[in-house]
Amino acid sequence: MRDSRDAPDPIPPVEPREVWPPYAKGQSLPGAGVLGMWFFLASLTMPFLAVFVGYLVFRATYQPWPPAGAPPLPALLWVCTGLILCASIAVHWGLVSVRAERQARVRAATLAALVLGAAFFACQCGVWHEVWRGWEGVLAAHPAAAPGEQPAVPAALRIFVVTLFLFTSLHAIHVIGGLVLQTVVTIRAFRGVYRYYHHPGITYSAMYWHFLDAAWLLVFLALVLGSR
Amino acid sequence: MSTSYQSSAEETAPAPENYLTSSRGIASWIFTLDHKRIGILYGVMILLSFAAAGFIALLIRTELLTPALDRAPSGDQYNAWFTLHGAIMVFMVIIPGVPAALGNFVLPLMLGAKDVAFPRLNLMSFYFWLGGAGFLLSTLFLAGSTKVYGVDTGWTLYPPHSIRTTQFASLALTGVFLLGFSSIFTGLNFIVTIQKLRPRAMTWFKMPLFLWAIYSTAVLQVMATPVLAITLLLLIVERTMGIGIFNPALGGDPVLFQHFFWFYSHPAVYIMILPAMGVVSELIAVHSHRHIFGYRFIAWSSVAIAMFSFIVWGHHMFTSTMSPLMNAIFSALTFSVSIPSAIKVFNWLATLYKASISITTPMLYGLAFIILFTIGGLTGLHLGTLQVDIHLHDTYFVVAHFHYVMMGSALMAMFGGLHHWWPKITGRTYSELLGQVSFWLIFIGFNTAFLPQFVMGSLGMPRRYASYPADAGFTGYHIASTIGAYIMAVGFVVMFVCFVQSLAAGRKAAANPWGGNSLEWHCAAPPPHTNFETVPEVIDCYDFHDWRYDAASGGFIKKTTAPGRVPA
Repeated sequence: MRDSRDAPDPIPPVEPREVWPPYAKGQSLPGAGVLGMWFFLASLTMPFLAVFVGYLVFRATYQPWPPAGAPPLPALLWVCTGLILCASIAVHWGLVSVRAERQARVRAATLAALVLGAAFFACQCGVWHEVWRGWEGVLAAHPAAAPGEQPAVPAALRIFVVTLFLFTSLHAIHVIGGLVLQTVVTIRAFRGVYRYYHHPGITYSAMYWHFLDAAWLLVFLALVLGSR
Repeated sequence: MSTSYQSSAEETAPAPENYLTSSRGIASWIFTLDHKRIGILYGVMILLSFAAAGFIALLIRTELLTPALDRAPSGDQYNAWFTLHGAIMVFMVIIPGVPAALGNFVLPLMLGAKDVAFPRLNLMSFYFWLGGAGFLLSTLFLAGSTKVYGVDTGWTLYPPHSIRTTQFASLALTGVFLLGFSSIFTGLNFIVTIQKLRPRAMTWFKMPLFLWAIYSTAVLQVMATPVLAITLLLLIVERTMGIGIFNPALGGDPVLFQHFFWFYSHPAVYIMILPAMGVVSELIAVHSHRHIFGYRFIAWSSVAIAMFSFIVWGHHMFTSTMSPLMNAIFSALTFSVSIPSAIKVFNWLATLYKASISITTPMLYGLAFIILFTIGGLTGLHLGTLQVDIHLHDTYFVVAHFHYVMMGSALMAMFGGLHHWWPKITGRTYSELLGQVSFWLIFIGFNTAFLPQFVMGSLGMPRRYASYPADAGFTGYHIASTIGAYIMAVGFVVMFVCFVQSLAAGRKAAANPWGGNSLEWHCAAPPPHTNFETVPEVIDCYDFHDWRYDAASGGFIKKTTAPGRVPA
């Protein structure tokens, strides 16, 4: 924080950029970005639904699910859920603050969302580590019949671990995009670019993190409820 | 040219600024944000890809001229040929053909807008296309362990072969993945442009029907293409890491891949045909100089086709071990697609009834679309019928059917639209004689090539075979088919000559050469950089009464009569 929280913020004026086409001098088209964002998020939802359907197909194919000898779901999944819910709250706080022109809070909120998002990703890496350890346990329990051959892992076990890994990493790819976006937004927030009347970056990043939150809940609930 | 109309005066006076002359140099093209220039970039690259894939088609037809495998270097090479022919035509030519090339150019003009909503995203989509095309085409020059150039999976990329093949399939998958992103972002851009950039007076039901078609297409592009993206990504992971999702040997499910693939690729059929139908709605109305019949029905049928397209993918998989109940459901749903399709055809026919039809090159393409689409659509009913499909599955009947829909309909409309808007795009007229000669060569060649395929398909000739028994009775049909393909090739060469002649020596085109009334015809030819200085007045875009033919300029000009309008 470069100044105390209650001091009035010295905000540099927004430089009007040259915008093509000139809908209105120095402005982008009102409402276009948010509408585009809605359709973009709808588009991003489709891969999650596809993988969800694929998960249900495998779950129905292989009974019982989880298969015998499957590693337990990593407990860190619950921590991840808490972190991304908090990130979602943080971006919303940032949006509310920028609408009220509380610049110090905008800076705090964007930074908090970035930190929480990064923590979520770190936690996600922990999840994969646990899954990998579980997979190694599976390999040890099903050694190859002869040296030089593939380990004789039952198909159900392999598919269980693979779907767990794929489902979470599909989400993680989108989190990486969100972290890049949030980094840019945080830097710009610290420069005081966002004003109560014009803050597209804050709006888009808030929409995106809410999407990540909802997508994670789909992943999380599918894995937790599906593995009962 | 040697015509003497106002020549000296016009050539010495500085020509009014247009989008081609507003800025110069290579950088002004490769970094352009102007939708018209991006449309040109797409158009040139798509036509080049079309020529490449068309050349491969000639190789395929040449191999099939005789029963024996004698002209292709090997059967595997033949597999790579038809794979690349299909993949290039589908992903690089037909899907972006009308929306990204013609749509980019015409859509903001039709809206009376200065550009699309996100010009930078528009340019980025083009570079995604270029990158994807680079990956896909790079496989042409890479030989796998079997000395075969290209990918041999078929454009449908079915596992387990696409997992096992030693060809560079992952490169092709990456290419198609990138092309998909191009498609998604173009669709996103067009949705927002149509919703946000319409002039205040242009309500949804005052839009040209082309825009209804583009909007429906864009929704499909945005909602269906991501499923292809995740499927290809999973297939790439499958190939590189062997995770087993689609590999039956490891407990995976190859039919799941087919469901995912066709959940995209069936809507993709409508991504190809809907914009073509939009073009044809414009062609039929403008060149018959009659108000389009059943505007609302045509508009809503585009939306209906888009919605149906999401629930019929299973008809590609009748022989892929779905349950009989699912097969029956998908079959019934498939038949329902014919309702909105037929609505369009009947409304076009009603528009033509008692109209003063101008037999111009674009109109010929429009009429050809109606005929060929009807044949392609009605043979789709055979394939949608369960019992008949079991017999016809994977035969040349299927090949003929989808060529009638994709080539005979989608590409015919694309070339019709290209001729229709050519004077607007280039500011030059083309030779009507060359245009019509090339049309008839293409039309006759097309039917010679593909009508026999219906017959030999129903006689049992399987698709994707490089050789066939000499005594099975297929030889004559194959010879006819190959002759037709070469006639078509000549037709495209004539079309190329026609366009080159137009660019080199064409007369200056009038702003409204056909008498259309949608907003792009109210703009100069070629349009200025900013399209319209002020928001144009919105009128009924299918009311052609206010224009009369002016022989001096070779185009239509506004009637000067004041309010009391005299019907033409």
